[in-house]
Amino acid sequence: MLWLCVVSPVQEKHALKALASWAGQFSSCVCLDAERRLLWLEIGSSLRYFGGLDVLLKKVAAGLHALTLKATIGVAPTPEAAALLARQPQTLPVLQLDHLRQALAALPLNELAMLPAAIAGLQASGLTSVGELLALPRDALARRWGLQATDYLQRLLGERADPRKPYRAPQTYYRRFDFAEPVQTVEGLLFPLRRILYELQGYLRGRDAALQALNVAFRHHDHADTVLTLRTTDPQRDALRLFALLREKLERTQLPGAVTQIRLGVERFVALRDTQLHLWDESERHDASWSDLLDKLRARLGDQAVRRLGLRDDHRPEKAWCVESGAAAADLPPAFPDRPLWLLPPRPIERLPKLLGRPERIEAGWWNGEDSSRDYYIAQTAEGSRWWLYREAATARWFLQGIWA
Amino acid sequence: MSYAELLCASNFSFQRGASHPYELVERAKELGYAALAITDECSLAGIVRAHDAAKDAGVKLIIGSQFRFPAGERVVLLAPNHAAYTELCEFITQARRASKKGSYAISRKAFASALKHCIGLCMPAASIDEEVVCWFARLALARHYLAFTHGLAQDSERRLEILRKLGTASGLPLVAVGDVHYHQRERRPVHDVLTAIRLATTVDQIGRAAFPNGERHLRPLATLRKLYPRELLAATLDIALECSFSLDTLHYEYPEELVPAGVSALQHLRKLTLEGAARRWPAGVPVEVRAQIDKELALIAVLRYEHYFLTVEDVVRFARSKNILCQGRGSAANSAVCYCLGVTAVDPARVSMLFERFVSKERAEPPDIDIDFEHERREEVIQYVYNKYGRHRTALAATVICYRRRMAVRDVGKALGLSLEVVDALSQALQWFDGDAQLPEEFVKLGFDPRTRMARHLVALVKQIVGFPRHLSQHVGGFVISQHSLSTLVPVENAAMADRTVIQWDKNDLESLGLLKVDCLALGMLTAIRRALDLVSLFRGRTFKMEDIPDADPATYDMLCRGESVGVFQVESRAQMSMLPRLKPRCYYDLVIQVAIIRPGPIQGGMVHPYLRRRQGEEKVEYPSTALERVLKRTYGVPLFQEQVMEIAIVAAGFTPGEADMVRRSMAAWQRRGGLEQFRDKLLQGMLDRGYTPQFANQIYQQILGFGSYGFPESHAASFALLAYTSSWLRCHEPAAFVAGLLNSWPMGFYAPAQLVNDARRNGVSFRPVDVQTSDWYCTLEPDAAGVPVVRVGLCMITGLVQQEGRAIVMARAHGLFASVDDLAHRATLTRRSLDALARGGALNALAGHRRAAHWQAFGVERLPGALAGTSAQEPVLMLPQATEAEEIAADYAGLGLSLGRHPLALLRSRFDRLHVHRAADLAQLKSGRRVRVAGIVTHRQRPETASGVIFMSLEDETGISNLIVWPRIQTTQRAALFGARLIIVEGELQSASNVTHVIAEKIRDYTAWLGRLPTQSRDFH
Repeated sequence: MLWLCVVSPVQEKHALKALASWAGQFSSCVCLDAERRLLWLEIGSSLRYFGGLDVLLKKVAAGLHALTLKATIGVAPTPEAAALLARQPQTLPVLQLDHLRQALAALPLNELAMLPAAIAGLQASGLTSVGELLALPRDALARRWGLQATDYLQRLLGERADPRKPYRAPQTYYRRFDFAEPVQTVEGLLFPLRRILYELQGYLRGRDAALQALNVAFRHHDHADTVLTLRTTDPQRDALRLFALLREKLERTQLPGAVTQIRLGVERFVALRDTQLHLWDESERHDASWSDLLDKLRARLGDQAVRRLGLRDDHRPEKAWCVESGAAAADLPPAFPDRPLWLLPPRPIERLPKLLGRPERIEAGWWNGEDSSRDYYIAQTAEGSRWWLYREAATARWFLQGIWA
Repeated sequence: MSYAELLCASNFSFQRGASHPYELVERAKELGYAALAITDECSLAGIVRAHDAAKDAGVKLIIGSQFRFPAGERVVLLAPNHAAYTELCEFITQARRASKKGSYAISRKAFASALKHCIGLCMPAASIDEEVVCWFARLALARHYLAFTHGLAQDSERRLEILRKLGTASGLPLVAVGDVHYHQRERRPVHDVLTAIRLATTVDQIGRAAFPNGERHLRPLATLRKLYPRELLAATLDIALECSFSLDTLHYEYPEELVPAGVSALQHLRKLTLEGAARRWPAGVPVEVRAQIDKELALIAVLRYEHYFLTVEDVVRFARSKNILCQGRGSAANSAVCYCLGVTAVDPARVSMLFERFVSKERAEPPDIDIDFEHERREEVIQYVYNKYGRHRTALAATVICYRRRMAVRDVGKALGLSLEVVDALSQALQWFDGDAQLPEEFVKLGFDPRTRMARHLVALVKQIVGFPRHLSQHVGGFVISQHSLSTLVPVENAAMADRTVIQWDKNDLESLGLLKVDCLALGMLTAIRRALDLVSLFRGRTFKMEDIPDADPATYDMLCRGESVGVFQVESRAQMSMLPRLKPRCYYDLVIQVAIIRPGPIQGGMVHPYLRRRQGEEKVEYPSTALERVLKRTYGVPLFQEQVMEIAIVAAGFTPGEADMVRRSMAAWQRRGGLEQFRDKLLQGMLDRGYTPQFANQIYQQILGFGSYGFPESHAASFALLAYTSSWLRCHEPAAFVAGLLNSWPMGFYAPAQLVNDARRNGVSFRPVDVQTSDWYCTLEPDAAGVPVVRVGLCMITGLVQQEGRAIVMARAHGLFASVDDLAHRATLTRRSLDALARGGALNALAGHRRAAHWQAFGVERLPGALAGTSAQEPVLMLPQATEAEEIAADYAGLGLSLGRHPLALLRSRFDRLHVHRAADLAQLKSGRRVRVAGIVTHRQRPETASGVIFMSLEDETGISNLIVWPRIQTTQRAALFGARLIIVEGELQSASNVTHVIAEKIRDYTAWLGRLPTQSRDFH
């Protein structure tokens, strides 16, 4: 057996799984240790298929490069030795078990998969290299750091079997990508999209399959997702080809806002040479819930066309309500002040009708330069209707802002 | 018709009130209010300040407090008389004690307690609940009112109607209140910001949590008359008329149990004093001392301070009985009485100070005695006080924590919606020495335009909020003890520490009301001295006490004159060290001056150099007048002490002693809120009138300014100088015991253990390494071949070793030395952690061979259960390679904080030689003015406020310490190396004069990388 270990620069579990799916193209036995960010490929059995170790290593390196991942790799007859080598800056592959001890001897202790306390303890005792550690009596080590330390060393050197559970790629493909910062431009989306498509390509190769349809959803901060469905007449699995198609589609789509997440899914696969056309089942439509309807209306009519009324927490009447197009309004305590139902944008008035009662004074807004100080009055017009007026303290001018029915 | 405001929160209702008590009082005066009640939320913390301001302004102050229920309704309690005041204090105390620090808990049940003398106002919530009013009406109070606020709100008029109906139904009269939160309309933004801070949100998000308008201020009478029905205004006056209580009538009684039955307090104090005198002067009390004692006792009797002195004596006696070193200081401490009582060791005959100068009849100022105790044993004293008088009669004074610029910038910035990074950057950028002008400049550096609205708001709001009280904390050691339950005098609340309670008043409040407090403070140096004395006693085989140290020892003063004072109390700082060779102290009183001269007062007043010149005979000693000769004679005509400056105000400017004392106490407040001009004019005019030059008058003014916040009085310096002398003598004659005492008391003082050890070694003290086979928990003395004491480093120096386990090692060793690390681990039952710490600290080196082997063996210790314990299999010895010298030194510093190996820089010396770097010890021999390079580990960075932005740095190499002066110009260009580096090479000009050597830094290069993994520490900007 020969193991190739990849130290993944990405950490998120779903990204690691995507990487494992991608790696399926090189090996039928891929193992994953998400905690240690490690991926192992058993390559002993596929070396011949790929035409030798050099070719395979080149292909893996090129594949990682296409994914724009800076990953380091190590090759050794045991998984732990491969992992240890992969953690070093540059190492040569070790192909035979007999050579392992010698190849590891000069390496520092830091990257051994032992407890940090054990490594610190060894260093405090003056040990610096793996060779020095391997020279120590095993029972002395077990006495200090337990059987797990010696067990690890046995697995490292292949003195003890190290069975691992292979990673099974899922039957449907689903990949999520979260942006740290919302992305504003299409260019910003293309970069991760291309990477995801390369991952998909690896997965398809591993399954020896192709696709004819894939869904991409873009999540926005304050809008419904933008969903694109790509369909091809011929089964496809070439990343660059899929990328070109998707890019074209994307450039014709108007995104409503910045994108916070990309989700890509493939539900059905076809054999690559299977040219049978699969018609999309049009009847598979979701229930049109209210929000779906809104989404669709928005998608068709544009976002600004769909709005509703909401409440805002503010003393100032014109700021106490709003027209909103986004998500539901915040949960506000309902207050029912004695206010006219019909609010107008304030308009200056020249002739004052008769004022009733004492004023209500409202002052707010100093923080954003809209400081206002107003005395609101109820007034009775000659026609018998009741107006809601205010006097602006700064200018002493009068405005009409509301009418009672 | 006039008006009395009965519901008014000051900024002592933290994050609710937006005006200082004095602002409210002064505004009420301007508006012609008949009275003003300060009713902070479950607190009387601001009431003394309000009381002082009200007395000054001639406004009638009513004392009260308000309490808020979760549903929003509030109850206001006002204290018309002393009985009601006592009830109110008890009530607040209960509500505060029932909750954690900083908050209070009230329930309806609580109001059933004794409040029958209080006047109650009910302030229903936004939606008026009839049931609340009914409950309130049934409370047992002296009077009940329904309070109505006309805030020009939408529902104000309707509310009045509802309340009127409720009033009629329940029989409660209505009264007008302003529900005031700030003194004038312009504070509305400040209040909005405080609201946002309280709710942890931003001003544009507070919405209707803010008041709808700015009407919650003290409004002109004309406005009120328009808004309120006449009878509601009249009711305020009825209530005000009924309130006659003033804090001036508070009657405070000292605990009586200190006086035995059948004698008066004075008789008892006299007896104790005379007994003490007989001890101090076994050959007979000198006549003049006898006369002094009589005079002092007479004064104490007039001022009725007997109990205070008895209390202090009692605490000191307790400490002495437990062998806890202590010493009093302060105005009353340096009296013959205190000397006899053992409160101080300052022989009044030695210091030319008169008791009257500190306690005087004219000033109704309470005597001030601070008692310092060994820092690690002060808790025993505190527990003694608590137990003796009971917790209900004893509490700590409060410290009011106020907004400082940095915190204000942070809180206001957040409230204005600035992002956390920006707020952090801004407040980080504001070093503590930045003046008022700094803020807008910092804005520009961070990419803000100071002309934007946001920037202008921030600057303006920060300026207003700085100085606002933020929360109460506990005073470092000021105890208030009373005959009766303290909570009848002042509300008591919980402190952050368990089992500690604080009163709601701070030191100034207590002083203002003439209440006495006893300061029990912790002083590390006393611990160090006591330990050094114990070590000497043990080593010499006879008891050696502080009294046994001879006076006026020339060798001790010679040492100080050379500027050698590392570890010495009060004069070990770098500034002090460079002053010593100039001032050349030769006697005790010189030390008193030495302690007091490096302070903002003398420095800001420009007094340091004139004093030095006159002392060295380079300038004629003159006195501005014969009247001042008496005041200034002891300091060659140059005022240095706070007492002298105050006396000048009296003698030369015609202030009364009371006025002069007022000046001292108000200085900080004046500098904050204005009021200095008046005082300045009075002082200058007074001095000109009496024929002094404007120049001298101005000097005195400057000095008073400097003393304002950092006053250093002779009375404190006198006590400190004693400890400075004691520690100097020990350093000079018992250097090994001295450094061991310091190490055993660390953390304390100015220097880290490594620096103390390096300094002692340069002075010839030998050290032996820490070793589980010989070390005690503390550093000890062992004789060398010649019988000279050497220091055995104690287990206490080991980083991360718990004292309990360290002591277990010493106990286990009593049955014989340890055979192996295994043996040690089992006999002392050590944890893995402790074993590891011992190995790291090098304490197992002798047992295991070397540090690496120690680690290996420590890890190999097996913990077998039950009967198997101690039977673990023998291991073959493993040969592990030894570490290099550099690794050993680095490991020493990491595990022990010090190394007995070579100084780290000694290892680098050949590299430094190639760079033409001088040794610190060589600098003194070089010519002043030449260019030099020095290298060293950075041990201190300081930026005294009095030094106009100059940074002083200290570097340590294997030969000693070199001192750098870094001008602001260099600070800006070489900031990174200056602030970030741990090892630097500095190039600059050498300046030496009168045995003081500095390097004026020009180029600073960071060589931290050369230290490798060596940890170092620098004490910066303390």
